[in-house]
Amino acid sequence: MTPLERRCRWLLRAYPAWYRRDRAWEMLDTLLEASQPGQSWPSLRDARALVTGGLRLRGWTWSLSMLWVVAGIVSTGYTFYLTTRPYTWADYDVGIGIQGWSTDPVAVQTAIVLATVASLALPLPALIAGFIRLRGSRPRRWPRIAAWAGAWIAGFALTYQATVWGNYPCSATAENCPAIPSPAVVSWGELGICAAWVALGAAMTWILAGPAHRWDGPGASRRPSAKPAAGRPVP
Amino acid sequence: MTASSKRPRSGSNSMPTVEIYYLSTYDGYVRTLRTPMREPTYFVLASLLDGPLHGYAIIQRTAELSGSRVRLATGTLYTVLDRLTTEGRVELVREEIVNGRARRSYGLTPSGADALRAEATRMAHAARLVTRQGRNLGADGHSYEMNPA
Repeated sequence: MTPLERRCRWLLRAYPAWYRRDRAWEMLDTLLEASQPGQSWPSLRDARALVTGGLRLRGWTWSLSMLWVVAGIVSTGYTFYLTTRPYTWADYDVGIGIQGWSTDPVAVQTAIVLATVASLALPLPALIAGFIRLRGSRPRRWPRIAAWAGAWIAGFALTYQATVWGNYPCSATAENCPAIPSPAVVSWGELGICAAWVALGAAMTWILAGPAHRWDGPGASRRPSAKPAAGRPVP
Repeated sequence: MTASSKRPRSGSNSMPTVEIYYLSTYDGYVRTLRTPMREPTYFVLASLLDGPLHGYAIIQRTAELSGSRVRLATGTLYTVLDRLTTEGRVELVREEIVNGRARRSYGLTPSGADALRAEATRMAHAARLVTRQGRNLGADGHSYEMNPA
């Protein structure tokens, strides 16, 4: 397998599994045929088209949920990083707690603000979008709808737990917290929550697996006589 | 849930069929009816006029027909093909194995040919408004008399 083929296969993972089963080999063939001899990376145009095509097929619901998951990963990861830093009373802001914001690079601060906004704004739309999406798939899959509600509650619980573990023992006033340990008490629990978010992302992907609308593509309507993908791993 | 699958069936049963659309698909259905065909779609259909082609051949032929103006990326091509297949404009004609990979050829369906012809007629009408005899632009590039004053 050439490096180009390996990278094309990796890019094709942007498409959902049900679609790849039907189309991946064919698309790989076209991608390789369209490439220049000696080319080892897929072109930027191709990469962009594959990613947008994949996202379009996976649908809004999946994209929203994954944004929520990424926001969860970023904010818990950052909270973990915060607890690894030594801090002093000068870093302590009554009512808010320890913040590392002002001393971090602007890009990091922006990412944190975006992640915070996303994790506040996305859960409800994601929940509703998921119900609408699963309602639309026939026959109705009640176990999946229940699983979706469960995943949402799990995400909510993770967000809550992240704030609890990320809080310093004294978040209300400085008086009831005479000594701040320095270096800080590292909150390994936050890393666990990060891992849980990754798992939750995989679970949500599984729950939403399958076409958002009825699929009338080439493999769906008629079974081709020659089936090259049979018994072979999907790229 | 597409234009092709939603056509009321004609047959012994003359009861009118009630079509139920989800909002999102209904919107998409209405949009495909009203908007003129997009350029990539038009050229993909036109590339199949001379017979079925496979993925890369469609990309090549499209670029050739449009004078390299429409250069389809692989992902875009299959998005277009998926939509056209669902609409019944294009169909899978044959499947062969080349270099151990599937190669599928797609051909124009009668409905696809109709749509292509309708679009070509529409564009020809629109073009004739400008290019017909007696509507030539003046030597100075103006289509009207300039006021000499």
